Amino acid sequence: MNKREFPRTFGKWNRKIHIYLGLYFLLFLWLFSISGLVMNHPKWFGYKVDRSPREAQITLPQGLTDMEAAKHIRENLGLKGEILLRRQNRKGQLIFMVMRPNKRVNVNLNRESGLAKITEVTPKSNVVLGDIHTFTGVRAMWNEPAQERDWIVTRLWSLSMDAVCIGLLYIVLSSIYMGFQLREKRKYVIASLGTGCALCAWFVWGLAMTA
Amino acid sequence: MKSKSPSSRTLARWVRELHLYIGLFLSPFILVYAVSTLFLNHSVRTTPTDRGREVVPITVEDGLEGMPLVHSVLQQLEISGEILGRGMVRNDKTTFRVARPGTVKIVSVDLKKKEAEVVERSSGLLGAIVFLHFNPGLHKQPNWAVTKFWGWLADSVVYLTLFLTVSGIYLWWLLKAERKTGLIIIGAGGLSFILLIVPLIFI
Repeated sequence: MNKREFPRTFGKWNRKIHIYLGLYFLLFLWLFSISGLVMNHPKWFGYKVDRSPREAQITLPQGLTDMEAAKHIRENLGLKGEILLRRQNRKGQLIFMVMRPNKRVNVNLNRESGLAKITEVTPKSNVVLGDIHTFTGVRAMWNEPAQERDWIVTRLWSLSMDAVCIGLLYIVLSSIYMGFQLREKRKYVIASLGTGCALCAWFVWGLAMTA
Repeated sequence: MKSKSPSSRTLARWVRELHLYIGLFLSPFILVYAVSTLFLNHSVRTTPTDRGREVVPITVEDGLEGMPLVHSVLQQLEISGEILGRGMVRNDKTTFRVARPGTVKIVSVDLKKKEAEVVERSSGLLGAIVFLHFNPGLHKQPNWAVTKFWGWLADSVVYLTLFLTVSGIYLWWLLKAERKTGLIIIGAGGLSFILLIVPLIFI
């Protein structure tokens, strides 16, 4: 390929990849956009959950770590989801949550008696949307001692989030390239991109600088 | 061969122009959301650094507490931002935070001594974009005019992103040579979406 052909071939493929990535991630973009909007307006949809408590007798094998014990209980109770194991503050108790976007199961096990209090929390569909949006398995606010994803589905979902972000980064950069290729529209391209950049920069840097 | 009518040509031109300029305007906002998501998805935390501490004498009316107290103190300190805290007084003391993207001021008020200690903590660029990503948010509605404006912008980003996807589909459909490949890619994207969502919720 000679020097003259390269920009044309690059431009052609850049446009194709821009279109293909946009089409591939279409449903993901709709999901994250709409769930973002729903989370911005909790009052529009309300925040209602159903709780159903129950009890179960659990026998734990000896010598398990807290995470191993939680996984053992998750399996025995037939639960599926990411284990959320915060620091254990109450002596003789194991407290954790098994969560997935449409269900959270709180487990509070008394290690001595083997009695587990289990509360199933089922949220409304708008909350489910929000949970899908934020379901990374390793949220800092959960304050887990070990930040790891222990459910294969969480790992795959988290991977897909990365893929959507990387896809979006490419779509954005390719659109800037394509915009600047349009010589007769360059001033409008600069105006629209510049306005967005200036507004965004004011929020990202400007507000902290004027604090 | 069927030729396009002038009205459909005009529509296509307008949609193309809007797709281009709206897309470029949104680019930095989408970068903020995409980059912050990568950090949040891998639980990369910022380590806030203290940038300064000062103790300022204040005047407080007797019996003032709650949000009126917070606003009175902030007015005297000439601080503005997103207020986190309700100004509940315990043992003649109250603490609240005033946040801006990338920085937070922790204000501790001692009503007996009639002074306020202000500690400024910076969380840098990452902290700023994460702050913006989380605002307005599920658990908190903005109480500062600037974050309210950001909330309005965040909503606009959603509406305009939806417009970009729909206009993108329309523009792709006009490219007859790309229809077949495009349909296969939409199918592949839809299938991967279903294969990820179904186990997450239904199985």
